[in-house]
Amino acid sequence: MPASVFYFAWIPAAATFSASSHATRAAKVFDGVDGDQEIFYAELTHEEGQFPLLEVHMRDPRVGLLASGRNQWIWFSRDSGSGPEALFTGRVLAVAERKKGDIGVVIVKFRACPDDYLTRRAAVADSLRELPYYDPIWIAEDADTDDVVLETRAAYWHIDRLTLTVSASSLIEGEDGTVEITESDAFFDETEVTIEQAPLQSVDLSLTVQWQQTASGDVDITRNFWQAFVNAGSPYPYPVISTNTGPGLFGDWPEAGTNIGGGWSVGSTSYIAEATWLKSGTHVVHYVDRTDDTITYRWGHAGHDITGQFGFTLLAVDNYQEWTYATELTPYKVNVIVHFDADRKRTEIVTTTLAADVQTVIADSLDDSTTETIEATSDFVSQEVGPDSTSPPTFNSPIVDPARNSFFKTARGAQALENQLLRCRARLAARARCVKIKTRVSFDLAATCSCRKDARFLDGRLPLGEASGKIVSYRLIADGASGIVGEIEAAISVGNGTLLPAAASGTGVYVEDGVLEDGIQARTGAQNAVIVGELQYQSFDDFTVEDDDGVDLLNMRPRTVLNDIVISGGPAQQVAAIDATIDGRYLDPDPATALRDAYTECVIDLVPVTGGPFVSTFAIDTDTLALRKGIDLSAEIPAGSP
Amino acid sequence: MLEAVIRPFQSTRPFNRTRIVATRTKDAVETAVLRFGAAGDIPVPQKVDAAADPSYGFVIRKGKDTYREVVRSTEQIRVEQEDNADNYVIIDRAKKSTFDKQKDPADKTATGNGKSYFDTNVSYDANGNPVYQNFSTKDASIELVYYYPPPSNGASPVTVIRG
Repeated sequence: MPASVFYFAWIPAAATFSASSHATRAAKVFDGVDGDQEIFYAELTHEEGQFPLLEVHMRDPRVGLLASGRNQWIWFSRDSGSGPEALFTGRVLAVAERKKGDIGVVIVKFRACPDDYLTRRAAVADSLRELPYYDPIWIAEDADTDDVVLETRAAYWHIDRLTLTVSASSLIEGEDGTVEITESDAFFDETEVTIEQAPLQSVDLSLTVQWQQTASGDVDITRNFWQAFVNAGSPYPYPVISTNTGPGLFGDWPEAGTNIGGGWSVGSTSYIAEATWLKSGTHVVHYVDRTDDTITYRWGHAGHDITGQFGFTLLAVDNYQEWTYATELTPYKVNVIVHFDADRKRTEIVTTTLAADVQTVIADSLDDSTTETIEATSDFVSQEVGPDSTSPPTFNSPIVDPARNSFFKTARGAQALENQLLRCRARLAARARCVKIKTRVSFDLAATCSCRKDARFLDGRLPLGEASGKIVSYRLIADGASGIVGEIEAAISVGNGTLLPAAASGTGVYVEDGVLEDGIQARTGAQNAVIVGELQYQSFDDFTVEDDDGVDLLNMRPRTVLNDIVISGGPAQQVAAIDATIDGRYLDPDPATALRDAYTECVIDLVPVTGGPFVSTFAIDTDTLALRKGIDLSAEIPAGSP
Repeated sequence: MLEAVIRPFQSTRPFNRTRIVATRTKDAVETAVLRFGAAGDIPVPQKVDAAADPSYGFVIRKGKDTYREVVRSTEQIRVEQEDNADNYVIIDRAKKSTFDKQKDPADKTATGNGKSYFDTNVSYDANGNPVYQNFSTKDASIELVYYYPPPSNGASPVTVIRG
């Protein structure tokens, strides 16, 4: 194998690699024969989620690294015989370190970080802000950083050491292929297999959303009001009521806008008008006031009869007083409209447990580190959050209609749960990578690595002779004293690798499938798949929310908003009260007083639409999370292995 | 309930039933009650000139027959004021009705104390209420059919089907 030739080119700014420009004679690292760059040691390190770093030990330039006229970017490349190949580009970190005893040698570090890193990362983050992986209702405004988008994706930021491209890379599976490491690639005695903490077994999830359930509108209760009058003896057809104390009722009719309480007021179109086109009724009673029970005698007819005999008549006359009392049953056309401005505190709680399908790495029931809890609360479901789209940006209230009595039962609400289930999945997947395999390999093999790739280890000392997982770090070392070497470390997931069966479609509640259209047919036993084969949960269709006061703000009807309508002093009661006064010898009270006491009074009792909070709790069943199987801990070591 | 209508003979499934999430209110809410109505101007009794009616206006009744409606079939119609359609009523117009003869001891003439000064033939119960006798004791029923509009040939708009 020809000797490696390294190039270390200082450049003014980040640029695409060019062998003719960056692998020149001036950039050549002194190899004992020639070369202008006196570099004794170079170590390239890239760890998952971190910037690639290059550390070089070079002759002290005896000038500040940021001195005017000095280039601050470099290209580090290597020619192993087939032409220069780029290994790293980056910008110098300002301070040159010195080791005790090293005279004339400084340690200079370079970081592969584009000048506009934050802008690039923000652009990537924006492209990842989509439901259900990103849900602003669970993020406080001041916490909505770019890193938030990775919490539910089980991913880290990745910066390419050659292109400086910023991307998100899954911690579960590499996106850019697999680096295969056979026994001939790895140093036999330089392979380490270690286990960190036990994998997470489950995450208990508790989600709470709160919002003000608001709605406005009118409810026409005219027919109920009319019926109450009919029940009270009013003989007129709909929509006409009647009373014998018409002026009193008419004069006391509540004006539009009158506050009733509990979120209700008198509707603007509510009115009463005398039904002049209808004949009014009359109730007339005659009665005798016998308060004065004395008798007056007076002489009546006196004279001679036909026989000539004189005679006379004595009349006895009582002093009773006769009266007549007439009342008018006046008809009124009415329109009884009540207006509501509902404002109710609502709280919805979802609880579930997402368990991981992992191999039994550590069987210890006392280990409480294998269970975590996620609790999240949101007040944003009825606020404008977003944007839902970036071009043009639109902001919408997640619940859309705040009159709804449930958020989680909406499609958007289900996505809110899915978002947090994905967050649980990320934690479980991260903790499932509890086995680490690290080995030394050739410089060339390590140079093909990136933290967007998987590593597959083929080693007879492993169960079934192999293991695979995400590359979490790699190193390339070029040492003038000891030569060149590479190192690869991968995290191996200990899931069982069993995919879930297809999410249950459920069964129709009313009739067999196909009879009713979607949206009419209710289903039970259905599941929603967040990630097919991996993550699925019980559908909210299995739940129906019913408030204990029976009010549905989306369907306000007289039968649900009316507690009662009571008409006291209706026509029948008034007539009975008048008649009762003349049923005795003495008039106490008199008919007029009786009617005044029996004036018509209306009481409309409505169900309040304010107050709360109304609390609904959903206990959701979630299937066990399917996780990648990178190593089979229950398998045997292949026969004949060293 | 809907399932019972659609499949009345289908037994209900014991599993996978939809769960009702009963929402509970934690805090008491204010009431929503609207109360209105007043006595207003009340008519006053009118004195009757005693000389005008020495009989004191009492009605003497010895007996009566009372027919009470038992069945009616109707149709709803909107009746509007001739020159103002906004003023209307919706009434149940009778199409056919049936009456049965019944005793109605509660129906008494308003004579001040429920008794007649002059009718000594009326008997009274223990509470002093008059007990009227029917003119006849034979049971009977009447069924009437109404025609809208009335027949143009001058026939009666009401037909007695059975008497």
